[in-house]
Amino acid sequence: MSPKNMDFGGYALVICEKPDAARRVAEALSETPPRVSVVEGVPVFQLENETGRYVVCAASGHLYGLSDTILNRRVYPVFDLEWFPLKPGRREGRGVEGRIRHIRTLSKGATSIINACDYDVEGNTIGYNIVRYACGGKERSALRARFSTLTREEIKRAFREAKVEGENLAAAGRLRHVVDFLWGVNMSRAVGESLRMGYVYRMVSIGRVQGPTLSFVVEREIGIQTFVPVPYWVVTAVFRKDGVAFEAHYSIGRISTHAEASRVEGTCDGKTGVVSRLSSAMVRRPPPGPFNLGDLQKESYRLFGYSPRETLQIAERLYLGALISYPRTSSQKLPNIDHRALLEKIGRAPEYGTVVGRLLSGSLRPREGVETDTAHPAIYPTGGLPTRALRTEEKRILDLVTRRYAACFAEDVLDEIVSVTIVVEDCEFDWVRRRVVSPGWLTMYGMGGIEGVAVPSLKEGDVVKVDSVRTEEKLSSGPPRYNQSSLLEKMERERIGTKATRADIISVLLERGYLTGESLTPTPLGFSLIKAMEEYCPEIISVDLTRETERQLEAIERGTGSAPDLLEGLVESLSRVLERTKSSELDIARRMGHSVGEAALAKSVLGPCPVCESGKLRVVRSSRTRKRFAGCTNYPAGCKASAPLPQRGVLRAAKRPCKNCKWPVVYVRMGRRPWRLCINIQCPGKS
Amino acid sequence: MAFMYQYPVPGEVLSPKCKACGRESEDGELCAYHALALASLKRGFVDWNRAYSGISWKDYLQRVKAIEGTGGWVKEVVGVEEGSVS
Repeated sequence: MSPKNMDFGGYALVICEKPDAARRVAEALSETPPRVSVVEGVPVFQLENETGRYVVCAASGHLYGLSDTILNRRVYPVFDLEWFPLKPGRREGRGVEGRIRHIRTLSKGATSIINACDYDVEGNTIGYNIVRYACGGKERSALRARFSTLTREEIKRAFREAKVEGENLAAAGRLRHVVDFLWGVNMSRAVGESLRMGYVYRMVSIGRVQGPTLSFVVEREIGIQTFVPVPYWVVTAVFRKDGVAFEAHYSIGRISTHAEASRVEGTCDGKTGVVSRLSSAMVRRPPPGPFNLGDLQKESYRLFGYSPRETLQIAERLYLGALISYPRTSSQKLPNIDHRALLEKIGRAPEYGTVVGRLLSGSLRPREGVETDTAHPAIYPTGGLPTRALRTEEKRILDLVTRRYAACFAEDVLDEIVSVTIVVEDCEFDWVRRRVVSPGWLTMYGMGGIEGVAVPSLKEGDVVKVDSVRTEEKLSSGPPRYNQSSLLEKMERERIGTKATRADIISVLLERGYLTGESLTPTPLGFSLIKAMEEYCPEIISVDLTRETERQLEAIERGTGSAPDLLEGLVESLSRVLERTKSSELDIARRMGHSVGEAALAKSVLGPCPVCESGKLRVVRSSRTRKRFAGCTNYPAGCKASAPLPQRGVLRAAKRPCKNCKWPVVYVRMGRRPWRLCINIQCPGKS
Repeated sequence: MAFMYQYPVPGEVLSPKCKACGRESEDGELCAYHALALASLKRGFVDWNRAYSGISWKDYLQRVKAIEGTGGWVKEVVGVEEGSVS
């Protein structure tokens, strides 16, 4: 499609971030279904309404990326960067050339350009780059449509109020890419070149946020590996009053010596005690505030075990379906909208009818958190109905967001806390119970369950009989390993990364083989990388450096920071670090070489060798023919087991060997669906 | 642990090995990580000694080694220490 064959003249070109968002925007702006055409795989929507004519098109995330001008992966340091269209060879670069060509053509016939990408740093960067490079440098005159949900009303409002905005957000976004590129690419190349000095040919990547994040896990691992449990004792007495038995703990809590624990037990056994203090208090538990992204990711991990990245992906799908507001937000504040109307809409669904009905009978004042975000409010449901069948995980997250939103308007939970002190000789025992008197918001957001315990009737001066006393020996426990949720929380607390990138950073550390397991454990590769960096370039794992950079970037976002100052400081410190790395290349190779080699070996192993039974069959590439095949790691010791492998496609070893011949089985992915293959060409199962 | 070993670079003169893992060691006894584990083990002995009003080093090592929550490096150091005690 070109402006020539479009059936109307001047139009506003609307650029959205994703095709789904483009469709939503087009449908919202048009009273009748918009005309759709697909050009170079990109859907384009044409529509006309009372405000004018529009052509809505979409990118697919970033169309432009940074690259150094030298284009040689072995050269560092590199400081000269340029924005280029993403390379078609890269996965995210597929179809980019066509999209850019298409947007460029459309922009020629446009009278105005409206950037309707997600309103945050990344969305602004995507939109800014497209308007600047594909639309002939119209970034200063392009209008910005700003919305937090993809509902018809909000999109219409956003387009009515679209205006030319400052470039702070986009500048900060572009600068963030530059900073990350300079640190990441230079340090990764420095480590890669160091490894080459030790004849290890593998690229190892490290980045400005990856470094400190990985170092948190490594430091925790050191704490775990060097932990020595220490014994302590807990004394519990069972008291009886009016036939009701209840347990109270010795008030010291942890007794550090066995002798003292024995003395307490001996003193109290078979005696009576006196209730010396009794207090009762009613405590209010206000409802939790609405979700920001971090809170949603943590809660979703706790309740359903979804990783932070999975949660973000699910939430983004719900946003594109106009079911919830924009999820990449740090705000815990709700927008100034008609909450009563929204709750009424939510209450039409049978599962929320009762609870929402109760809310609507009173005045509506939401309880909010303290975090704010200039771009978007907290995550809240739109009350809209899905246009397709939702998957289980989508239903769960939508339900979670809806309940949390409704709970913000509910009454406090009222707890009664009864605290009793009983004195037996010179020993004091404490008995504390919390009882839910009024469940308040727990009725709609009782995700942790409602606790309640029967309370014996006691008053001060009461004499209670000691039924029995028991002493338990326990051991102190070491620090727990991080899981994805607690690591995300740590990153938030340390203020490294952004709400949009933290989950991805953790996933990248797992994908690159630096971390492993549900309880995140550093692999030998991750461990050696951090230890080498600690010694030779501590800046890359320093929280302070990352936090300071984040602070400067945030200042630029607000329009109060200076980009040249940030870049000048960065180039200076990076040059210093790289100089030091250059002079320590051999040491780095010596520190990391073995673990890098081990990691590469582990990645290429297909399974145990059924011939020698002590070696492992791994993927080997022939130095003569460059073809790959499976060979035994015991080849130098005489094992000649080998098997041909498919020369194309990605191989993944199956967990179990072939049940017919015990040779490894691989999954070969070449097209959409992988196929299963026993690598033994003489496998009896094949005949 | 496997990752404690170091990769020899051609031409490098390697330092003495850690008795627990074979990694480079400054003093020929323990590497930096196992030295940390040994320090933690010694600190733990003070607490255990007080908790039980006296416990022998040998008995302490046996008990610490058998506990599931004891760190892996500490257990490896216990192995080295037991060898030197016997």
